[in-house]
Amino acid sequence: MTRPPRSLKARIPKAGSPRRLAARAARRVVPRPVARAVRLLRGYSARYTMRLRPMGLRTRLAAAFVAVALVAALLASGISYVLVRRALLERVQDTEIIEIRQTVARYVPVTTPPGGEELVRQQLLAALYTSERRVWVMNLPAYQPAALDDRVRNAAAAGVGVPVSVMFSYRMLSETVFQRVRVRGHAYLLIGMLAAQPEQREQEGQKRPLVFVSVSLRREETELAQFTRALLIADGFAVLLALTMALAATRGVLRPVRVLGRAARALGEGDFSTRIGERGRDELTDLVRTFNRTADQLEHMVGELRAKDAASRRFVADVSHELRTPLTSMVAMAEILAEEGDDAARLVAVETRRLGALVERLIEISRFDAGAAALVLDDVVVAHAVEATLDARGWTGEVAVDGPADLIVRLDPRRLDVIVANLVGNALRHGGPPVSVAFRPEQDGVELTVTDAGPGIPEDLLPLVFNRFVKAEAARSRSEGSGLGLSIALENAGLHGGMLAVANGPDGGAVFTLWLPSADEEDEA
Amino acid sequence: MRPRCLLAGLGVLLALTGCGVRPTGPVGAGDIPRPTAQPNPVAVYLVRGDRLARVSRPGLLNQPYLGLQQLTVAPTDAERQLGYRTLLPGGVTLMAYDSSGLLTVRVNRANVRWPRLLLGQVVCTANAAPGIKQVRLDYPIAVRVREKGGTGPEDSRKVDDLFKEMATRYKCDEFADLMAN
Repeated sequence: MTRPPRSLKARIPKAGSPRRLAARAARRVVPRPVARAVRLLRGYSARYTMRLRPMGLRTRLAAAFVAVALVAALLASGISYVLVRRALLERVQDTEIIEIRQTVARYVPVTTPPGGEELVRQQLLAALYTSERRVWVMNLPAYQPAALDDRVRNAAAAGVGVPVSVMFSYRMLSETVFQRVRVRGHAYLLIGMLAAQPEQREQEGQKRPLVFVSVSLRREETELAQFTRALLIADGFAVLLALTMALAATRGVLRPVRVLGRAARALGEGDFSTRIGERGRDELTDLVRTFNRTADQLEHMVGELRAKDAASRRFVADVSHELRTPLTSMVAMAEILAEEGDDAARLVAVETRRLGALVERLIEISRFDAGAAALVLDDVVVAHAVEATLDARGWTGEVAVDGPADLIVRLDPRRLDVIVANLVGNALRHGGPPVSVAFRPEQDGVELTVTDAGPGIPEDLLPLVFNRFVKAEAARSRSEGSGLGLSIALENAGLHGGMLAVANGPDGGAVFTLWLPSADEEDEA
Repeated sequence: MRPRCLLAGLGVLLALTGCGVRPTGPVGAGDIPRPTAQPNPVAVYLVRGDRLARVSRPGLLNQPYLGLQQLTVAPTDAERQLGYRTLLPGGVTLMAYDSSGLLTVRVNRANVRWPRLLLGQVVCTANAAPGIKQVRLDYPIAVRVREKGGTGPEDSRKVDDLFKEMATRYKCDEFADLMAN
């Protein structure tokens, strides 16, 4: 059989729970302040991970808050940005256009004196000039072109430093036109108009001033950039505020959840008296109320069950005690009858003896159940103890013993004898020879293994082997074993704070592994 | 799904608004401006027959001495048909400098010795400007130096005359005898 060995460690209640063992081991190795620091650190890290769980309630709530705040802030900022920008640009456009129109209307006379066009042009250039404008004026001949030709457009573009489109030059012949243009990363307002009286067009030789003005929008751009910066800073503050509020809000929600979680954990670990104070009127309080009712019911039911269990155990103990006295005399009488009598009498004697042994074991088990079992500790040389056990049962020749002769462990010698006897007896009865016992020091105690070469224990039976009245060969119900030996061995190991485990060895036989710690001095009392 | 929609919405909003000043196409902003300026007309004295005659030309804003400039412009077709002419030679420019009622007319010709009719044209046109009481001509003085010897008394008398003539202050009233009707 090449299947890897499957082992099962029996969970031992009370003193032997693994956590306590580990804690005990840690206490021995680690100095006290260091241990405290480690505990503190572990507590902090636990709290920390709880606070920042990636998809935890706190994270999700905070994320939702922040997202809402961010969206609202960005939306509000975007809208106000658009409105402010429109107002700003409309203001500058209106101001410039109105002022330029007024200037042009003031300086261009209804009738120009002969030869006065150039004077008017010079006057317009001087009157329209400011530090933020570039002005270009030309006197357009009276004939009416559909659009300005390219030469005029290019001259105008060079004059104002902003490209002039065909569309623009076409439209400006019939109305006042403006256009926002970006040149080399800066925005300009291009305004164009033709100053003329409608009737003047018919006059021969009359020239009309064609006015191009470009206004630098650099100041407006700076203002907008400042506004944007202010908006972004405000948005940042809004998000920060939202985050703070989210954390404050989640704290209120999460505290009851945490309390509830702690209580549920305590309930799960067997503390049925756990209750939570009911405060408030929200959904969580409903949950708390439900939890408390559940805990009530559980405590009630478990209490009832425990009482029934205790009663039945007491009944078994009482029955065993009542049976012992008549059985003792029956065994004695059966022995006498068997010596004289026939096979039937011998059979009766054997069965009576088995009955007696069974009752003894029942009494022992019920002592464990009642918690009346106590350790009587002594320094024990393990090699001698094992030898004595085998000797007393007459198994010396059948079992190979291996282990250091000088290993001394502090434990209850009578209980070690019971455990070893049960394990070896079990191996001899149900397993196959050769049976071997090996022991060695392990983790401040002794590890003892009992190995046989039998067929091993069936897989489905492995988890149940330490239960009471479980037998490997169910068909042979009348086998010699009582079905209580392994249970008693396990109870004894548990009483020491040790462990007993079973597995199938690689060669097929069953391997029982016992670990008993050396008792503390203080436990002697 | 939901955050993706949200992001898409924000993206659309951002694309709609953009940042900074966006360029536009040409946008109309009302009719072409109507010229409204109707400044006072200026008086220009031309010659008709052998007399000085006053004609009126449209004025310009802030150009009180526009009359002198108009004197250098040839009479319009309409005026010519009515028999107006000017004695001012082509290419002459007249610049006006005012100093508290005395208008200095600078001529771009040397040693101006104009007939009295032409002088009347210039002086009366200049005197017609508001606030002008006297008119003075200003022009470069050129003196021919003889080949041998220095400047004789004849020449210096000539120069003195020229300076005296230039210092003369005129009024339009002095030319009243040349006025038509």
